[in-house]
Formats: sequence, structure tokens, C-alpha cells
Amino acid sequence: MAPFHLPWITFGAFLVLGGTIILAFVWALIDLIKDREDES
Amino acid sequence: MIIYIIVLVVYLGMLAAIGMVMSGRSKSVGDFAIGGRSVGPWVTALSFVAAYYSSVVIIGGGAFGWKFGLATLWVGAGNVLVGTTLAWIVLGRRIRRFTENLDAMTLPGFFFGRYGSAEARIFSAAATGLFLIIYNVSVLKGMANTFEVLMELPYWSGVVISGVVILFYTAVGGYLAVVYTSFVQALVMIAALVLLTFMSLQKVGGMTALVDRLNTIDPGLVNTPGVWGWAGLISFTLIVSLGTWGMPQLLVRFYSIKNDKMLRLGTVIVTIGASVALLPYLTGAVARVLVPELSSADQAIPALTKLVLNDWGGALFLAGVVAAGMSTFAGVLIIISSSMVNDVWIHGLGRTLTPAAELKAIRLMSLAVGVISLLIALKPPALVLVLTAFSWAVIASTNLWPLLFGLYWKRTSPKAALWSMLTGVSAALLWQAWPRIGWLPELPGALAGVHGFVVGTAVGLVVILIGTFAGRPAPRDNVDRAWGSR
Repeated sequence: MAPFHLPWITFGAFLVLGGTIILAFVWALIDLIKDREDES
Repeated sequence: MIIYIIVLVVYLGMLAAIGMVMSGRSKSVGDFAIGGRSVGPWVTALSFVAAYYSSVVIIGGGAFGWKFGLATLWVGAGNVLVGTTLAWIVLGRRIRRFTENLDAMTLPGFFFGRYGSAEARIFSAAATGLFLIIYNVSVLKGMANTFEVLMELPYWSGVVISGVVILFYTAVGGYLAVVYTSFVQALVMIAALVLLTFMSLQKVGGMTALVDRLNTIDPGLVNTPGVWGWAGLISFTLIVSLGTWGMPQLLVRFYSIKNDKMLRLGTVIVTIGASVALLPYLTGAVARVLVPELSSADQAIPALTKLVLNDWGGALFLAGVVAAGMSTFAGVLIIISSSMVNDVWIHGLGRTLTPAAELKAIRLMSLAVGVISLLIALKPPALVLVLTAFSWAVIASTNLWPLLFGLYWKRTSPKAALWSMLTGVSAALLWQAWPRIGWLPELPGALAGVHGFVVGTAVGLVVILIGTFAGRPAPRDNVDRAWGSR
């Protein structure tokens, strides 16, 4: 059983949300590094 | 009641003031339609959230949560991952660069520049314009219904109050007024949703208590796909998530951002802002526990608001719902008016207008389209309500693949793009109308739950792939200009 007595398959929606926020930060970071490499 | 009036008058007055301030900055067609490509990342990101989540999502999302339980959280998660973050990563930068290279201010204008196809331009402008008006009617209706329940005002006055304020700031201030008011509206909407979620979870005894109480009503309200079933859940999640990739009122935010480097910060901000997508579904599920007896699921969120919030909280929530609706309506109005004048009147019918006359025509067109939507919304005929369910399916089926393929595959054939639009829209409409056509055989249970959007986009994808392999690519000049190689 997942947190809050939820089944994992329903709790997965919160995991996807968390993963998406991490994805946005990681993509922005990679994009920044790529831009700096292109400039130098 | 007096508190509601104070909050609304202050709020609506502030929106009108933004329209007045921005009117001085809308001096050309480019300023009016896409803000002169001068908008920063915070305003772009939060105005995207406001245009994405209309009052229909808040009230309708709550109704789905009430009816189908916590499985609907997946719809919200899909909105954030596919409808927002991936849309920004996959589409944002290329749309910003290509539309600047092609000097396109509208999505049909992009199709013309990229493919050299006047037919694709006209079809996209006509189908999108017509179905966006229908969508706008449903957005106005959603706002008026909220006024009706929370302020006990007659339906017509809700339509008139919201319609007139939006028309004023859109026609006067143009795109800049729309994005800056949308920025404020996003903040109000997020605050209202967070407040309602926090207060209603507290009332029900917390998240674990909510799950336990839903389980006792029906375990299907806690499981996924639960009482909804996979066909309905997946179809609906796809249409309101992947569907955004073809919605011009959202894509225009990419044209108007100051430069493509700003998309980086914008992607982070928009992802965090869009996370509120889960809240209407969650509060809808809370309403199932706290207000189980309702004559219609659409009353779930207004009824919950009355139960858990005081007058100030209720007024903030009403402002939030109105904000969600207004920002969507205004964004759509700009898209329809600039597309009708630029793509249909000037390029489609070959009329010549000076820049000043074009700007005036777009202002007048936004007023005309707004008034038409308002008049239809005063007494929406049944057909409009039926077609509202089709509108996202039709618009996305028209634009999604020609846009995505046009951005990523140089070889994409103009004829394939046009046929993808035509067949996609026809398939989506036919599929949605199927149960209403008496002489057609009944669809089997599993297929009946599939939305026309899924069918329309699947057909459109197959057609654009086959057509591109079999047909000729766009003229070299168009492709080179789009990619910026000349």
C-alpha cells in the first residue's frame, strides 16, 4: 500500500507529477550547459 | 453578498485598468496579435497556465473527481507532463524560431510559410475559428453558472458582466493586455484552488481519511481506472493533455516570448504553476464525501466552496473561476480575430489593407466575435453544447500533426499535411456523431468509450506519414526559410 492508504497505481499520479517537476529542472540545466558550451 | 461584490468590483476594475495601460503599447498588428515578441518568461509561463485551465476545467474537473474518484488525478498529472512540460520542451523553441524566420503571427500563417499551402492555411483558420467560438460559448456558460450558484445572480447577468469586461480589455489592449491580465488571473486562480484544497482536506480529516471514506462509499473511487474504466480515462487524459499541442491560443505564447533562451526559465515556472491541475480532481473527490447528494456533478465544486469557505474565501474562489474563464476567453478571442483578418480576409480572399487598417480590423473583429459568443451564450442552443465536446478534438486533429511534423521533418509533404487535417477532422466528427446516427451499427462497449480525438489524431497521423512517403516535400525555399538557412 502506498502513502495515504492509496493503491500504488493511483498514487503513481503524484509520482509522475514529482518526476515532471524534476524533468523540467534537469532539462533547463542541460539546456543552460549546452548554451554556455556553444558560446565558448 | 457585499463581500462578493467588493472583491469582484476591485478585481474586474484592475483587469480593465491593465487593458487601458496596454492599449498604449499596441501600436502595430504585431503588437496587437503577439505582443511584438516582447513578453518575459514569468508572464509567458503563468499566462499559459491561465489560458490552459478554463473555468470548465475547474468546475468540470471537480465534477469528474466527484463522479469517478481519485483515478482522475491521472488527468491532472497528464496535463502537467504532456500538456505543459513536454509541450514546452518539444515545441517551444522551434515554434519561437520558425515563426520568427517565417514572419508568421498565427498558426495558419505558419502552415502557409512552412508548406507554401494556401489551402492548409484557410482550412486551419476556418476550422479552428469556428470551433474556438463554440469553445468560447462553453467557457462563458461555465463562468455564468458559477455566478448563478455562488452569488445567486440570474444566468444572463453572469454572461454580460464577464463578457463585457473581457471584450473591453481585449479590444483595447490586445495581446499584451491578454497576457498581463492572464498573469494576474493565474495567480488568483492558483491561490483560490490551493485555498479550497487546503480547507476541504482539513474538513474531511486529511488525505488518509479521505481515501478511507471514499473506500467505504465505493473502492472504485480510490482505484485506477476505478469506476471510469481505461477507455474513458485514457481518452480524456489524451485529449486534454496532447490536445494542447494543437491549440493555437496556447501555442501563441511561444511566438510572443522575448527570445528562446527565456523558454528555459519559463519551462520550470510553467511546470510548477501547472501542478495545480490535480487540485480540482482532488477537491471533487472530497466533495463526494462531504456533499454526496447533488442533483448534478457540476455542482460539486460550488457546493463544496459554500460548505468549507467563508464569504471572503468564497469571493476569492469565485474570482479564481472567473479568472480562469476570462483568460481563456480573451486568449481565444485574439487568436480568432487575428487569424480571421490576416489568414482569411487578407491572404485567403486577397484583400489589401494598410497596417493601420489591419490593426483596426483586428480590433473590430475581436469585438464582433466576442459579441457573437456572448449572444449565443445567453441562450446556448443544444447543438452548441454538443459541439463543445467536439471542439478540442476538431482543433487538435486539425493542427497537431501538421505542426509537429512541420517543425521536425523537412520532408513533410504539404499535401499530406492538408489531407491529415481534412481526414483527421472528418474522422473525429464522424466518431463523435456515431451514436447519434440511427442507421449505423452500435459500437462495442470498449470502443464506445474512446473519444473522437483519439480516432481523429490516429487517422491524421497515418495519413501524414503515408502521404509524406508518397508525396513531394514543400518547396526548398519554404523549408530553408523555416530552418533559418537563408
